[in-house]
Amino acid sequence: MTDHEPASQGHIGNLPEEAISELLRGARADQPIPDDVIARLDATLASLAPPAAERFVVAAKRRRGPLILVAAASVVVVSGGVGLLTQMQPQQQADTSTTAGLAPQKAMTQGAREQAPAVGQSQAAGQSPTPDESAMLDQSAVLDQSAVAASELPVVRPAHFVSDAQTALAQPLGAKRSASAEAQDDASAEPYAPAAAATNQAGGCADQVVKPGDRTVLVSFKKATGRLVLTSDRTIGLYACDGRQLLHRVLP
Amino acid sequence: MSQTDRELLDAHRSGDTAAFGELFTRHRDRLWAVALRTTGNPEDAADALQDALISAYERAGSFRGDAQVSTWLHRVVVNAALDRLRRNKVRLASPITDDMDFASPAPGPLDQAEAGSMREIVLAALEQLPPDQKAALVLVDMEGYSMHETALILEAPEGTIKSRCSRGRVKLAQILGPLLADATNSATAASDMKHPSSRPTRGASKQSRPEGGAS
Repeated sequence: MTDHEPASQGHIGNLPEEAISELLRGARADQPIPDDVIARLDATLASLAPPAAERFVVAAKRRRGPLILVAAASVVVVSGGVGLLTQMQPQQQADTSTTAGLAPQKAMTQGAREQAPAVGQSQAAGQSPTPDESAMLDQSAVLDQSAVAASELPVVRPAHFVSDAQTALAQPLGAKRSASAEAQDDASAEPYAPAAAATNQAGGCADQVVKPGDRTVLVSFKKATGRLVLTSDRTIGLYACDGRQLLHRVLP
Repeated sequence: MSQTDRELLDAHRSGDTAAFGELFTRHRDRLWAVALRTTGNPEDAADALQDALISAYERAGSFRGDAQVSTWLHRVVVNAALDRLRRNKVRLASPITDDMDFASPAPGPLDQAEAGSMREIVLAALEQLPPDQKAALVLVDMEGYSMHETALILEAPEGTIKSRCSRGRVKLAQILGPLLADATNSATAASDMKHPSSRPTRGASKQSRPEGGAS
């Protein structure tokens, strides 16, 4: 017989079920719990109290566990964000100071920026570069020197140094492409015409010689890259990129 | 104004070390009765009640609140009592040793109860039932819980509880039938001896009539 089989008959032999129930009711324990058992239970309860309190602390910690995890994750995210901002801040300052001509080694020529359009997308959109982009910009600023020298830089001819230098230095910032296009147009007629890729943001090339207030531009001189510097006293100097070597100087 | 069972349990879960003692004390006598009738002896009942106290104290956090606190406490006590019964059963079924005396087997509970009162006879018969039937009958017939409450305490469907009770009563009747007949006869005989005219049975009157008729 299983638990789910229906109950059997109401009469069991000579005794009905009711009679059995009545017998059981009469046999119930109606005496109170003995004193010795009470004392034993009280002692057990007293022994339980301190460890149980600790267990509740643990249980409360477990209940707070997910909250702590979320808080920890938030701290990690926030600190990561602060770290990124901290990393980005010097880069932005370098960009700003480079624009003012104070830290040209961090800068990149406009031509180099165009050769790495993907890198400069966020800047072109008026946004700050991401850390990855900043790193790529720094790297490309170093690597682009030869490429810049080969194709984009204004050419300063030794025989026409003063005029070429003045032309290169006179190019307004940001006018590079239009000037370059014009130079391309003129290239067929004047192969040594300055390409007008003038910029004050050239970096990594004899930048030690540049002082605040100087106007500077990278130029191509005898098929090598050099830095043309116009100082505040109107002196024009041309320095080799591989050092501070003065290639040419024109006094005012 | 006294706190409800639920409030005491919540206080205990919140770290109030006195709350659980008050809660357990409130139901202690009835829990003791259940433990005593389920285990069948005071020693095991005390052990079971202590086990239940520890278990309930430590597992209060797992109380889901889908039943009354008293029902939950009874469930813990019944489970502790049944666990103790199972342990006793395993102990009784331990391997036979050489120093056991088989010549004079120990008297069973019914043998011992035969010399006692009707109450002891019934309790001794109750010990013959399987634990699940015994627990159901203790809660329903002895302690007066409804089928629904008992189903909650024993964590079984009501139909199962009814079936256990019915089968338990059948078995009790089979055990108690002969004993009750003997006890009834003995009690009747004793009563007749003390008060021969106070229990005029139908048979006795029939008997006297022929006797009277004969005279």
